[in-house]
Parts: sequence; structure tokens; C-alpha cells
Amino acid sequence: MRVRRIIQLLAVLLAAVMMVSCSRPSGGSSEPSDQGAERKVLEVGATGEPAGMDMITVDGAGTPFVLLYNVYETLVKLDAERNVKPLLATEWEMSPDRLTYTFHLDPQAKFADGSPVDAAAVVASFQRIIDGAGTGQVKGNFAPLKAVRAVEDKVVELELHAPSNYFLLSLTTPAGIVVNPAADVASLNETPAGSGPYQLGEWEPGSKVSLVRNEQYWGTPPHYDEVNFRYYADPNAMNTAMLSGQLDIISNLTVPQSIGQFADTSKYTVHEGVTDGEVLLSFNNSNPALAKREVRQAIHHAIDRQAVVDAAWGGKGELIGSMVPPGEPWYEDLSDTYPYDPEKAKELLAQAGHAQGLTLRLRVPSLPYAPPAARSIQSQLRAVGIEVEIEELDFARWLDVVFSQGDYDMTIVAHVEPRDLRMFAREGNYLHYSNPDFDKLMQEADEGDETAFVEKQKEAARLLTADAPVDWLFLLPNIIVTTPDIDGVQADQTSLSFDVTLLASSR
Amino acid sequence: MKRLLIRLAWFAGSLLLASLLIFAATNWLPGDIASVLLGTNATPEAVAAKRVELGLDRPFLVRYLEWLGGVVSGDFGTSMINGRSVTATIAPRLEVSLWLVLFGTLGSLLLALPVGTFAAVRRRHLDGFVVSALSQIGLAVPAFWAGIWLVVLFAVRLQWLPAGGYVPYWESPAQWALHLILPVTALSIVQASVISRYVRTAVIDVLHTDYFRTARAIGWGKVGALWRHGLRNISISLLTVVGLQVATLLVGAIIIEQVFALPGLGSRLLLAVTQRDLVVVQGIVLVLVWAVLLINFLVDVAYQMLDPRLKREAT
Amino acid sequence: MKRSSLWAGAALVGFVVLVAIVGFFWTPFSPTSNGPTPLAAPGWPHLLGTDAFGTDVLSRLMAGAKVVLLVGVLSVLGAAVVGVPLGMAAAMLPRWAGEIPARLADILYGFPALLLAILFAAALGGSTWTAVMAIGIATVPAFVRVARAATLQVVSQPFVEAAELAGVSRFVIAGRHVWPNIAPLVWVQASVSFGIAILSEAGLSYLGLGSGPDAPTWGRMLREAQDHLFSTPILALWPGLAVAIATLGFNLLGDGLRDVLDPRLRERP
Repeated sequence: MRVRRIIQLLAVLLAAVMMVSCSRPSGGSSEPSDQGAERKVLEVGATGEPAGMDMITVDGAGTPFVLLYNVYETLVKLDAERNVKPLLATEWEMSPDRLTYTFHLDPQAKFADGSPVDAAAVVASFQRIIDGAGTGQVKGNFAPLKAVRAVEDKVVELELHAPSNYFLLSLTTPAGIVVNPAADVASLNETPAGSGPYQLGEWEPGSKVSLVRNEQYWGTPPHYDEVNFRYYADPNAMNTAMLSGQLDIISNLTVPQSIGQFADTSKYTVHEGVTDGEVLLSFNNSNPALAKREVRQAIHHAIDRQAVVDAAWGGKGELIGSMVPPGEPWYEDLSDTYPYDPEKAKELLAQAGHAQGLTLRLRVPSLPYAPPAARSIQSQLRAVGIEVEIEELDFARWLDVVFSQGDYDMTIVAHVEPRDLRMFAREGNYLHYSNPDFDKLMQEADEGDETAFVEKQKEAARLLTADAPVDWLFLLPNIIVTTPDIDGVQADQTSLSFDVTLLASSR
Repeated sequence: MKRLLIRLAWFAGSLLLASLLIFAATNWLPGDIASVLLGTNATPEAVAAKRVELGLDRPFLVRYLEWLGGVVSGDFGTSMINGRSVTATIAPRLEVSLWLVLFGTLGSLLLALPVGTFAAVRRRHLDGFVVSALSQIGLAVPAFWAGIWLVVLFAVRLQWLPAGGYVPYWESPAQWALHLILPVTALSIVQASVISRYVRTAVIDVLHTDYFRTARAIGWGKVGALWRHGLRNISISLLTVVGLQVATLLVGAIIIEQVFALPGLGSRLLLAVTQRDLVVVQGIVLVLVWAVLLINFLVDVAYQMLDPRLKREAT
Repeated sequence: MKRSSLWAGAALVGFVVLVAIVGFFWTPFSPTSNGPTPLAAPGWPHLLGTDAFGTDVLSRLMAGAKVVLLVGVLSVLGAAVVGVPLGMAAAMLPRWAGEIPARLADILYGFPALLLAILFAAALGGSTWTAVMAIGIATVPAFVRVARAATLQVVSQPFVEAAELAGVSRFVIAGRHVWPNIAPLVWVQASVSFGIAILSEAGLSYLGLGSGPDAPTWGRMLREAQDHLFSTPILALWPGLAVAIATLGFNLLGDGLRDVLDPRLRERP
């Protein structure tokens, strides 16, 4: 009889659970799964979720990855060969003193709500940043911008403080997005208001962001009706999802060791390209030992970078030896500047007064590449007498402790922002690095003509490599895995965007 | 009746104390939320302003009471990262976790009852010994490790089942079931090992009782006699274990969710912790801890109802 | 067969302890240095093969054993030192006062090790010490419960009542009469908790909340092995086996002790 009571109890509990979980969704179902024509849906696997939807105020690569060029558009855009191409602006000219840009907007362009993309919208978007909104990166990108003016309905004028070669490139970054002025700024972090071919659909923090086709799109409509970015905390879980057919595309394989899983070309296509992500072993240049150039150079000589790439990133990733990725006009191969030479390293350490050895803290974020690289480097540095204590911090804590407070000796992190050579000239950078010669070269490059832009940056990059404020370990590869039917994949990642408008399926 | 009221009061007290502990613990997390939100452009003034905006400058007790008041009325606050209601964030995730725990419990019982009974009845034979030994081994295997190999075998090599992810029941019941099979199996194997050992002990106890021997003597078969007379004894001792295991399952599911990329409470908690989204962390931890306390309370009460002898013993 | 689990458990635990001691002084190769042949298959000279860094897996397992034992010993010892006196107090104090530690333990029971560790790791950063603290705190209630239940039985015995009537202080009774009688059960609980601690450590390290990259723990090795699950799955086999063997050993030892020391309490938590 008691037994019966237990069974009753269980039955009631079971019924309660059923009710809780089955009654709720009836209203919220948004999946029109049985509409006449088959909807084309793209499932994209990704790591690194957006922390918010307002690219201007939210840090991190997750937001532009989803929104840039897909939901938001910029005046101009970089193509796969890193050339500046029209997007919202059909053409533009620069004044002879190189202080004023005039952009002519596409007359067709309109926001997702149907209102036109006009000069007023550009003014409102850019004025917000001039008035002080935005992350450090956004503000840094727009630092040269003095004023923005509407000349005609579809013509807008940008005035700079000083000539800047970088500025046109900055317009292709998240800072340059044109936001619908009708939208309430406070709501942008949840509901983006752009002019792109997609609109934000469902956003389930921790698992997926979906984009749905903007039926009002002014340009060529994209191939897919719906794109789901699915997020995986564990990159291996993403691989297994791809292997079991739940994904159409892995936007960037963060376990390159596992690339062999996708060797079957009848089922998968693997695109290997480069990113702008330089993986750095960063030094705290205000640390008493690391302030000495000999010590920094000794570390360069002590590290066998190929071994680091092999162990940490499955051997994928180019050795660069400078802050410039191949493909930039001012790229030079400087990877041989500091050949692997433990004896030389010991000599340099002795010269710097550390013959008896040295202990350094290596505080790394828990991102896929950092802890393994740290382990490999620890072993290599031990061989020349440098004891390394590794500490792994989750990314939020790392941002706070290392990046904001600068409390570290060495760290490992990838700098993914395009054309970030200039970060070494930024005041208060987390490296505590400052070199007036370098700053001067960079300023000359930015303000000079096109030849100066290239030549001065070459010189600056060489100077930086000689000074060794960081060790350039390798360049993160861009490994995209797709099902074979998907076309239009851009192998090299030249912007922060994962541009799904280029993709199509032959299926 | 009075006893029940006292228990109820204790239960309410523990809920309250647990909520205070959680609130205090999450507020003590370093890695200041304000500077995390501001990221790379955090200046001291900006951080101070953000703290005011988030209401972090007000006294601890005021914030606690406000939060608790909200929780009691079903409002867990809003996320500091994306400004969404935490209640709405938790609800769909709770569903996934509930299925895992429910099926994990059922699955482990389904495995454990026959296995434990077999091990008890055949305890003097080699096969019974082997079964006991296997359950010992199952107990020592990390559930996530079992999960990893299940994925390798059934999802990657054989491609019979999806490797991970979740499909809600109302979208496709068949897909929903397929996606739950592997994670539930991984959870059940280990849980069943624990429970089967209790089943074995309980069945052995029953086998030794006079009434069981009498039943056998008057011609009942072993299984029939067990079913008729043993079930209640076994169910009483099982109740406690299963109650405790449900708590273990709730938390064990956190790792399993990670292995199978399931959008449950655990994976959301880990995300909130890395984002320093205090309000979401508080909400999820509170739900988990209160669930465990509730289960303990229910088990306690049920135990008393089932076994009057216990009434005199200290609580 | 009655003692078989005791012997089997003792043998496995002995083996793990031996490996840990040997590993403390000597390993075939350095457990933290890179080697020239990454991802080598098991063979000679690397009996269990090498990992992606070329580090000898066997050496790493041996060096990891001491960390695992350290985490187990510290967390279980800490939990026992806090939990046992609390449990005894809960049983020996007047009812109203005794309820407090008992109920506190109940509430703490609601915070399983993993949940605590996630909070701790978030607060202090994942490390061996946060793992020890989290596992230790989460283990306290188990000791409170065991000590309380056992003490309740002991204090109802005539000899304790006689001592009470003779005016012996509660502390003396606790030390002289109660502790020796409940100690065996505490040992049993310690052994079982040890097994759980090893499993918890593995889980924490797997989530990246445990020991750092330079500490060769088994859980960490599992996490690292996961990147090579498809090319070199055998890397995930060894540390998983090590965890299973050590846990199995402590579980069996606990069972065996229980059978020998107190048959009445056989297989109760």
C-alpha cells in the first residue's frame, strides 16, 4: 500500500514535469517548418559568442563575426584581396589636402524597415562615436575623424584632423557601420538595426544566434533564408556535430589537430587560409628583467616556434616574426630574425645579468591555443635557465587582470584586429611598451602619401622586430570546413566578419 | 503533523540561508563585472559610473533583499550582459536539464533494479560476482569519459546517433529522443552502478527475512516472492539513494552537457561565470541548490511516511 | 570472498601510492619537457607513447599520481577535521543546539563539489588549490552525517551514560569514549570520499577549472587528449584508466573496511 503511494507520488511528479516542459512552448514556436517552398537554412558552427549586439559598445570578436556585413553595412568593404570596395557608398573622392572624404551613397540603399540609408543616417552613426561612445578599439579607429556633415540627401562629407591612410580601412571595421537612426540607441544591444541582407532572428545566449533574410534588402538577395550560428564551448563538440551532419560549415576550426577527421573529400571541403590573428608571447615591458632588450631577445632565441606551432596548433600556422601578416603591402618575412639558438640565448641572458637564471609568470587566457603554447614554451625556456610559472585565467579574468590592469610578466594571446601594427603606438597599451621612434614612423606612415604608407610601415615593423617587445609566435590559420556543396567560401579572413552573404549551396 | 511543520520550517530556513550564501558568494567574485563589461576601455571613472548604473554601489543587504523579493515572485532579475530577463533565460534551459535528470534517474533505475537483483540472487556464483565487480568498475569511471567514448563509437564511427545538440520535443519528438539517448546513457551507466549496489544489499536483506523464507517454503518462486514481499523493503532504502542521486545527476549533468553541447542549465552557468554575469550565475545556482534541498526534503518526508518506525528516532 | 574487496582495494591503492612515491623521485623521462617524437605510439622507449608535446605519457601519469593523491588527502583530511567534530557536536549537544550543525550540513549538501568549484574557480582562478578547497568543503557534510549518526549510537550506550552520571566532561567523553568508537566509520567514509575526490578533480580539470597547464594531473591530461581524440584516441585512454583504477581502489578499500569493521552498516552511505 505504501508502494502504491510511492508510485502515485512518482506519477504526480512525472506529470508535473511533463506539464512544465510541454505547456510552455506552445505559444513561442517560431519555426514555420512546413511552408510551401523549402527554406534554405545554413548551420554554422562557431566558438566565441557575441556578448551583446551593439558592436560600437561591446568588445570582443563575437559580435562583428555575426553582424558585420550580414546585418550591418559599412560605406566601404574589404574584399578577399584586401582592396577597398563600394558597399553603401557607390563612389568617393578625397580632397587634395587629404583632409576631407566625400561619399556618395547608393540611391537604392535602405534599412530593413524600408527607410532610406541617407546622409543623415551616416551622420547620426558617426556622430555617436565622435561624441564619445564606443569601445577603445572603435574610438581608436575613429580618432582621426573630426566632423561628419550631410552635404546632400545622399552625399556625406567626413573631415579629418590630419591626413590618415588608415582611415578608409577603419571605415570597413565595426566602427564604420551605419545604424538606422530611427532605432533607440539603448535597444541596439538586443535588436540591431542595420541595412544588411539579414536581420537578427532568435538569440539564445549560450547556444545560438540566428539570422533571417531581410525581405526588404536593397541589393542582391542572399542565397540562404536563414543562417544559424551555433556556439560550442568545447571545440571538439563542434567537430563531432559537423561529423554527424548537424552543421554545414565550421567557421573556424579551433582544433587543427583534428583536421584529419575531415579528410574525406566526398563529404567535406577544407579551406585553409590565413587570418589577421598574430599569436603573441607578450612581454610586460615594465618588468625589471623584461625591460632589458637582451632578455627579450634571449627569449626569442630560446623558442623554437615551429615546435610551438606543432604542439599547440597541429603544425598549422605560418611563422611571421613581425606584426604584419602576409598579404599586406608592407609585409616582409622577418621570421629568421631570431633563429632558434639556445646558446645565444644563454649568452644574452648572461650579458643582461641573469646568468644564474630567472623566474617569470606566464598568465594565459583559457583560449584553445594559449595553454598548450604555454606548456611548450615553458619547457623550452627552462632549457636556457628561465623558470616559467604558468597560470591559466578564464578570459573575463584575463581581460581584467592582464589586459586592463597589466599585472603579468608574460602572456599569450592572439591579436585578431586587422592592421594592428599601430597598437604598439597606442598610449597605455597593456605591453607597457613605448618607443618614440616607432610612434614617429607610424605617424609619418599614416599622414604621408601612399609610398610613405607602405615604406614607413615596413621600417616600423622592422624596428619593432629588432626591439622585440613581444615574441611573434605564429599566425592563426583560418581553417574552414564545409560540406562540398557550399560555394563562395573566402579562405583568408581579412575582416572581423563571417560574411555569409558570399555563400551559396549547389545542393 | 507537528513534526511535519517543524520540518517545513527548517526547510524554509535552509532555502533562505542558501540564498544568502549564494548571493554573498557571487558578489564576492573578483574580476569586477563593471570592468569586464567595459573591457579594454575601462577607465576608473567609467567603471565607477557603470557600477552605479548596475546598482552595485548600494548596500549589500538592500540588494540581497531586493533580489530575494524578486525571486519569490518569479523574477530573477535581468542579465548584466544582454539585459534579458534571467527567468526567461533559465526556463528553456531548465527543461533540458529536467529531461536529463528525469531520464537519467529512470534509466539508471531500469538498469540497476535487474542488475542489483541478479547480483544479489546469484551472489554465491561467479556470474553474480562478475556483475557486482562490473558495477564497482562503473562506479569508478568518470561519466564524461564514458560520454566521450560513446560519442566516438556511436556518433563518429557508426554514425547511428547525433554527437550532440538538442532538438525540442515540440519540434520533432523523434529527433528529441535521438539527441537524448547518448547523454542519458552516459549519465545512467554511472548512476546505475551506484544504485545497483544498494539494490543488491536490500535484496540480500530481504532474502534473509523469515517471511521471504516462508513464502519460498509454501511454494513461491524466488522472483515472485521477491516481487510480493521484497519490493517495499527495497523501495524504502532505494528512496534515499535515488533522492541523493538526483542531486548528483543535476550537477553531473553540467559536465555531460559540455560533452554533448546540450543547452541546459549547466552550460549556461559556465558561460555566465566566464562572462561574470552575476545575476545569471546567482539565478542558476539558486535553482540548482534549491532543487537539491527540495528533493532532500521530499525524500525525508516520504521516508517518514513510508517507515513509521523512524518516527521515534532523532531527525 | 568477504575480504576480497578489502584486499583488492588495498592492492590497488597500494599500487597507486607506490607509483606516486616512485614518480616523486624518478620518472623515465621528464614529465614536463617537450620531446623530439610527438604523438608516438606505445612502444620502446615510451611504453605508453608520447603526447603532442613529445612528453612521455607514462612519466606524466606517474608525476600526476602525486597531485591526485595530494588533492585527495588534503581535501578529505580538511573535510574530516571540520566535519567530524561538527557531527559529534551535533549528536552530543542539547537538541536545539545540535540541530544547527546538522542543518548546516544539509544546506551545504545542496552545494555539490562541482558547483562550488565553478564558483571558486571563477572567483580565484582555476588551480590545484581551488580544486582542493571546493572538493574539501563539499565533502564536509558527508563527515558530519557519518559522525553524527555514529555518535548518536555510541552515546546511547550504557558506558557513556555512566560516565555522564559520574560527571566526566563532554570533551573527555568525546575524546575518550566516542572517538575511538566512531573512528572506523570515519576511515570508511574517508576512503569513499577519496574516490569521489579523484573523480571530482578529473571533472574539474576537464572543464578547465582545475590544475593549470604545467601541473601534470590526470584530469588535465584528459582535457589535452581531447584535441587528439580522432587522430590519437589512445591518449584519452590512459588518464581515464588511471582515474578509474585509483577510484576503484579507494571504493573497494572503503567497502572492505566497512565489511570488516562494522557489518551492520554494510553498504550504507
